Amino acid sequence: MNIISAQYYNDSDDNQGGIKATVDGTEMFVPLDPANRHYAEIMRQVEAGELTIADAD
Amino acid sequence: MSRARDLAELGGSADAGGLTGRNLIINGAMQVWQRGTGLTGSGYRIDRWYTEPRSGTIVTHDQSVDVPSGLGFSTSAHVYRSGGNDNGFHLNTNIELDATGNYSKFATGTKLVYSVYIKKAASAVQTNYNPYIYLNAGTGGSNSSQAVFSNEGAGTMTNDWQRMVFTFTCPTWTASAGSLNNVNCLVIRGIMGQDNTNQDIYITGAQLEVGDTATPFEHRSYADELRRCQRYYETIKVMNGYFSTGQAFTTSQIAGATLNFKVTKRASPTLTAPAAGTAAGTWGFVGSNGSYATIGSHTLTSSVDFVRIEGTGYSGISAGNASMIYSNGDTEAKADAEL
Repeated sequence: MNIISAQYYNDSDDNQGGIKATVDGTEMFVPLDPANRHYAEIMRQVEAGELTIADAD
Repeated sequence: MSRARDLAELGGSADAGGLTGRNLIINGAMQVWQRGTGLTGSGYRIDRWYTEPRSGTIVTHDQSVDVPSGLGFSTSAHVYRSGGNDNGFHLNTNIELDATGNYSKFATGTKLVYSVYIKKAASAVQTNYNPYIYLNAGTGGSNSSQAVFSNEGAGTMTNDWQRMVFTFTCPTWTASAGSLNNVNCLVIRGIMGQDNTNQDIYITGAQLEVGDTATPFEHRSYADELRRCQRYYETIKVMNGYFSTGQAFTTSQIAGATLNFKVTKRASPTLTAPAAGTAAGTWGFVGSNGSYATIGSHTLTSSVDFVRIEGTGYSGISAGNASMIYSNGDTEAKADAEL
């Protein structure tokens, strides 16, 4: 899974809604669910120091 | 009627393919291809099946009508090297556990039998098919168990369809990485690839059963298999025009437009959707007069049952007014909750 960018986004209540990421060349909206395989991989790469998640705009 | 006779009659029914629920594999007959056919690459391509190309091999996945004759199949998967290196691939599927860390259905001593119809293309060199099973946390998870090979060892593919049968005895599982408290599926990993060995296979009728005897393949309808697949992946096809209604939250934000999934997902899915815009193939919010507002950007947030689409950075909308989404042309969104 090639993740080249990741940024948190907020919902209309200004709560953290998820992560907008480019995975294998496709822009995806990844939920903050540990059971989601993309989220799990993002967090694994973050913990390994291979990826940084940008703050929400 | 005696219990022995009851069981004998049930056994006869199973032999005739009459007992349902035996096959733990979803889409074993390669009927469902929501992502499309003819796709290359790694990961999930055929519904519920994922490919691991070996070291630079480019793999293509076609749905085929080349099937074993007279057994009720209509489709197979034709999976082959189509470019890059020629080092083969593995073709895998997985069976979801009822709960993370609860692998009691595959407890120590449990007998499993995996059967599959398979052949190679005449031009292919690779003949080895040697599946193994293991517990894992998703497809790329960092928690897994040791691998368990079949009691029978590898099978040899020929140019003709054959049914291969592999039996497994679940061992005392031990973690090879991480913790077994985090595993959520049993993987069947179809080992085939070798360096510099051309690989080109047809496969269908994959079945995993509890027990030590393979019964006839359990045929299920396309509709049944599609719904099973949609627990893990679903395409939402939207036709040209207005398709969902929300409300302008402020003069620049639109909240609350929702789409419901047909099937509750395994986990909150990753979402892919058309970009915000007014051009062909995009989605754009329109104001209550039906005209495009000045386009901003969208975010999609999911639960296991629905997706909420919100717009920010819009202008030309009025707070409190209804707003709809317009699909410029037929488009689709994708929800991915695969293991």
